[in-house]
Amino acid sequence: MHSFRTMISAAALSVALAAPVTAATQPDAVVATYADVAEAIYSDSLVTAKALQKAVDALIAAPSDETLKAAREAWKAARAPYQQSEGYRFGNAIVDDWEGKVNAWPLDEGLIDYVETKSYGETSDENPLYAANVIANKKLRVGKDEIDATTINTEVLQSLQEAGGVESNVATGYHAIEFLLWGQDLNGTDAGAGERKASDFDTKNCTNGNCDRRAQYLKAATDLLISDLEEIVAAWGKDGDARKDVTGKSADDGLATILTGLGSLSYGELAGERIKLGLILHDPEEEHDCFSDNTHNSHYYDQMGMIAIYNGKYTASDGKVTEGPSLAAYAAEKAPEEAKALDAAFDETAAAMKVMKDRADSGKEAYDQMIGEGNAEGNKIVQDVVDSLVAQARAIEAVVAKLGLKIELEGSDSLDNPTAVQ
Amino acid sequence: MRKAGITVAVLFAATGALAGGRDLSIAIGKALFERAWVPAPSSTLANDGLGPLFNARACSACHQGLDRAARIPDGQGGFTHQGTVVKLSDADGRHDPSYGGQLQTASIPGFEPEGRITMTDAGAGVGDLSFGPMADETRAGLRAAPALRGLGLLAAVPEEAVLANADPDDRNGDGISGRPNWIASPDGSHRLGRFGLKASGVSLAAQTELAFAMDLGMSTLGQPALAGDCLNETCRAAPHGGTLTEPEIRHDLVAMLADYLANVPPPESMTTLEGEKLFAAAGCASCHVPSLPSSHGEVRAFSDLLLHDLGDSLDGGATEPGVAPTEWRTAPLWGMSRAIAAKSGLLHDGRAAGVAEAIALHGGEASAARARYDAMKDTDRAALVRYVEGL
Repeated sequence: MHSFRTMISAAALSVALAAPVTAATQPDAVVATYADVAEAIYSDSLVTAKALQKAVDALIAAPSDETLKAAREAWKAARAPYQQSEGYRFGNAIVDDWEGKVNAWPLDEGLIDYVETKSYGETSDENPLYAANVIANKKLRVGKDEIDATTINTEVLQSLQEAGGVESNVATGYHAIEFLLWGQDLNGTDAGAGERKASDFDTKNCTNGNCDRRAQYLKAATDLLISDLEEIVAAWGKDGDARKDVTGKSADDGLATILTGLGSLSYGELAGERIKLGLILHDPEEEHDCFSDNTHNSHYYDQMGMIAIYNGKYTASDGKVTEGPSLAAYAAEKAPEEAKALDAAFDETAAAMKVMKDRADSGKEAYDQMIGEGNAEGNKIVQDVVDSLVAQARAIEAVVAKLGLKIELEGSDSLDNPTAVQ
Repeated sequence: MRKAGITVAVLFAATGALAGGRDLSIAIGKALFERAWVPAPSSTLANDGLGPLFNARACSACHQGLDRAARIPDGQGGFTHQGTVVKLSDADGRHDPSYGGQLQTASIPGFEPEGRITMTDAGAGVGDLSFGPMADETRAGLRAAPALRGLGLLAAVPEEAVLANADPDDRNGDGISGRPNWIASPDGSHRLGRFGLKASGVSLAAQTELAFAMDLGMSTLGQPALAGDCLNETCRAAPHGGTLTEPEIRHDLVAMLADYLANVPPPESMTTLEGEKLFAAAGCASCHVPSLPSSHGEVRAFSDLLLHDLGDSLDGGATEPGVAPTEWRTAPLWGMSRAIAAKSGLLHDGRAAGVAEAIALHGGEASAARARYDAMKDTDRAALVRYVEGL
């Protein structure tokens, strides 16, 4: 069945290229591009994660302000392509099942390392491992089981991930690494990110104890990130399951998968839970990349990724371009008015995001300060991002309707659930 | 970011569902439902004010997955899951003068929890009390955290439809005298109560406010006490996250939570026609009315949303003003299959292991129906139980 469909889409592609008379964009080709762009984005994530791995190795070998700074820069560089992949969530089961390993958040960092108990507290009703601190403790009890963490390796980390069924026990992925590189951000909505010192990894002049184990943890978490990314790159490769899943769907279902991801990320996930929630609570803990103060980039690259997915064109960190027949082109043919509105909505969100990003990059104000209480100017910038994302979701919805598709969006009212419609 | 357990992904046919002017409130309401609140003072005003006394830090701690949770003893007299509280009142619904309307079993640093829930063969009670004995008249009542699905539809049932089933003086002589619970508003008007075990909640927002006050110790517009259900001097002097005019939880947050809950669809059921006939023949359907009308179509909650006296075997201990300890709002039976699957136990406190045991505890106005059920032949009784288990 799969090979049959692949043949069709390949055939459709060659027809489209060879005979401009029938230039109509074929849904199968659009979906094939979607898979190609996924493979390109995850491959780019892997390449940049390997650069992070090198920088982490250098930090552990010779902890210094310079090597720590280099590792932090490498982490930020690795985040940019990864965030662009988030439009593949919400609809690709393999991605949804996998992504918690690399991007779970928020996390109870006390599971991993020492924390400032004054702000963090010492216990939690919901999480018995809230302050388990595996770096300081060679044995941990999870329910009735004991975890031997004499050596902190990838297996130990995997056994701690969501330990005890608590989702905030995040032991692996970008945010665990971020915490180890930056430490807690104790500045609230004031200026400043986490301020971990390189000597936290220095076995000769160790600060805060257990530097050897902290280095072990950082090394293991980085290695695990690499192998997890290798897994997802393979899943989108030529014979990968994620690719097969989406290309094996009917044309309409394939297109619906793409739009479900874009709409859900725009609306409930990004505009709602990640941005608006933090804004109404003015809570710096509601920052996606809270240790590094990199949240503005995290949001910005989510948007860049959505645009890449819609336009069927991704430019990797090394400049390599992957492109093909796009949903944008297909929509422009079948739903020209709605597609035009959606193009404009993507642009508007990107512009609003850019204002937020520039403000943070210029050093004027980090994202957690922008959402701070009483900061009308900063709040407004973030609210503009929310509003544009909601408008973008509406524009996606209009394209969906015109194309005659049906999709599910995260966190949305429903006409089928009429209590919401007054 | 990993999604937590509950997903409110709903199908829409893309004709302006987002354009209803309620942007994001559901998504944010859901996040607030799962949020663990913190004590004051914290770095953010909008975020603090937990306690000083509380039962849980987050709504979702007790209402896990919006369903009733398994009832697993922790070996020390309590339960492993947090979704159980003890209500306190005298027989007329007056709160205990020291402990208030609910026993808070947790506290922020520097405060002592009021006590602990104890379970003995004689039933639930309280122990390790921190502020001396309770008043002699105070009665304790164990309550399991309810499932929270389909509440938006209950809200949509018109008052007239509920009142149509009311028969407070039993004029039709069937032994059943369902009565509405009219709740006085601050402006003197009365509204029909329809939520909660005693039908005392007039709206989802009001129920949410009550839960903030009793379970989390956080003030809202409708429940402005800053210390929640804690009545003593120490609590009053505690740091708070709000003032009387600006509560700890702003009203827009309450509204978003209520909006989220209102949009959780009702649980699905698998029922058989045979069972439905038996259910009606026994008279169960007189109170567990299978269907109520609403502006949004049929509401198959299996409740008339009225109060009924179920007799001494279902004396719930504590109660609320104007409602006898043996009186209960007819429990909606939708979601029964989920409760059975979760092994949560049935009835207000989870004491009944299964449907048959729950039926056996029905007395008072339900006596005749229970007797008819008892008199059925074995196969019919089993079919009826299967039917209810499938709801």
